[in-house]
Amino acid sequence: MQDVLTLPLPGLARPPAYHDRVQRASDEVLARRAADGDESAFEELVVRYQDRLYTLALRITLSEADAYDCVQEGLVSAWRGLGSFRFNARFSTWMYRIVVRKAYDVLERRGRTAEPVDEVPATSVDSPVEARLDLLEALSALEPEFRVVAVACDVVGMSMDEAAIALDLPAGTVKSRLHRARARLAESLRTETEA
Amino acid sequence: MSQNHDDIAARLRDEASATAPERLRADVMLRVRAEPRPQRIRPRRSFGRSFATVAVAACILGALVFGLSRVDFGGGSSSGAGATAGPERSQALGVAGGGTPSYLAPSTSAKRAVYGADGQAVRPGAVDKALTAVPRPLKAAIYGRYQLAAPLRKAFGAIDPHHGPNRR
Repeated sequence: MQDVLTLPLPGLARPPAYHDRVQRASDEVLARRAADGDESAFEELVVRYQDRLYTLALRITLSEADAYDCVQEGLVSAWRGLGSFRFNARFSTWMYRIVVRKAYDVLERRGRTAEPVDEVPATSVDSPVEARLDLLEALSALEPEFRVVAVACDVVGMSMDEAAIALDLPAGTVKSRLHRARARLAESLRTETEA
Repeated sequence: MSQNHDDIAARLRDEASATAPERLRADVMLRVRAEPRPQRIRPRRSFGRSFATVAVAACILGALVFGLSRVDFGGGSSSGAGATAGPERSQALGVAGGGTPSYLAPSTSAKRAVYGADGQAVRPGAVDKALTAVPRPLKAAIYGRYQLAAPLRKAFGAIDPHHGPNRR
């Protein structure tokens, strides 16, 4: 049973066994520990989710600086709001939702101020560079409502239901938007190839 | 079409993921440690639930009080109540002379012809005395099962309205 974690004595360094248990604990257990003020448990959650949260924010905002701010603000907001988290949804979904809202706020501000977006982030995978850039360009060219769904489901790996909760959309809307996003991406890539 | 979509999904999964900057974790934890620790909010009990609890407790208490008020502890309270009710209550209950109502009064046939074991007629007053002298089941059980010492029996009779100095 991983629900029970032994608390070390105050004033002493945490023993290695504690860190092992934290690393093996489930998200929900860590979230409950973090809600009780355990910073190590929250740090483990940050380690687990920072890449996925950053990817989500980066593909929505299309800006590394904005994505960084979104994830940082989102994680701090999550820490503040852990006390009110009722654990009736998955902790990951809750975190995704916070960061998606931050990213939407960035898009809204950008729409009001018409900030230029000049960053197309590179990735660290070993597929052919041109093809990867084509895919990222095609993804960036999608409208935000389709891009968000494609990123949530195909890049981050959320299920349809999880994406519906995180994006605050009906499940049917998520499904139809994902289908159309993939169709548009395929069309863009085919056009690029033919050109 | 479906195969094409699966290829797109696979490419997105493999090629569109990004790695968070290394300083992100440190920056987040720096800010987290500067924040006050979260206080978990316990769900408050709703008003309806609290009201239902109070209502159920009040009902149980009321039923308890009502039940206790109906229990006959000594056996003499009903006649006492009838005696203190006075002639007004007796009038209302249709009783002549006060005291016990007519539907609780001893049958006249019992007073009319009662015979003893030897065939001799027994006086009506003796019948009433014999009726009131019948011990209650609990007392009979105590008397029969435990041979109480004389002082204890005397003391027990003192608090019993049917025996001892308070005998009616």
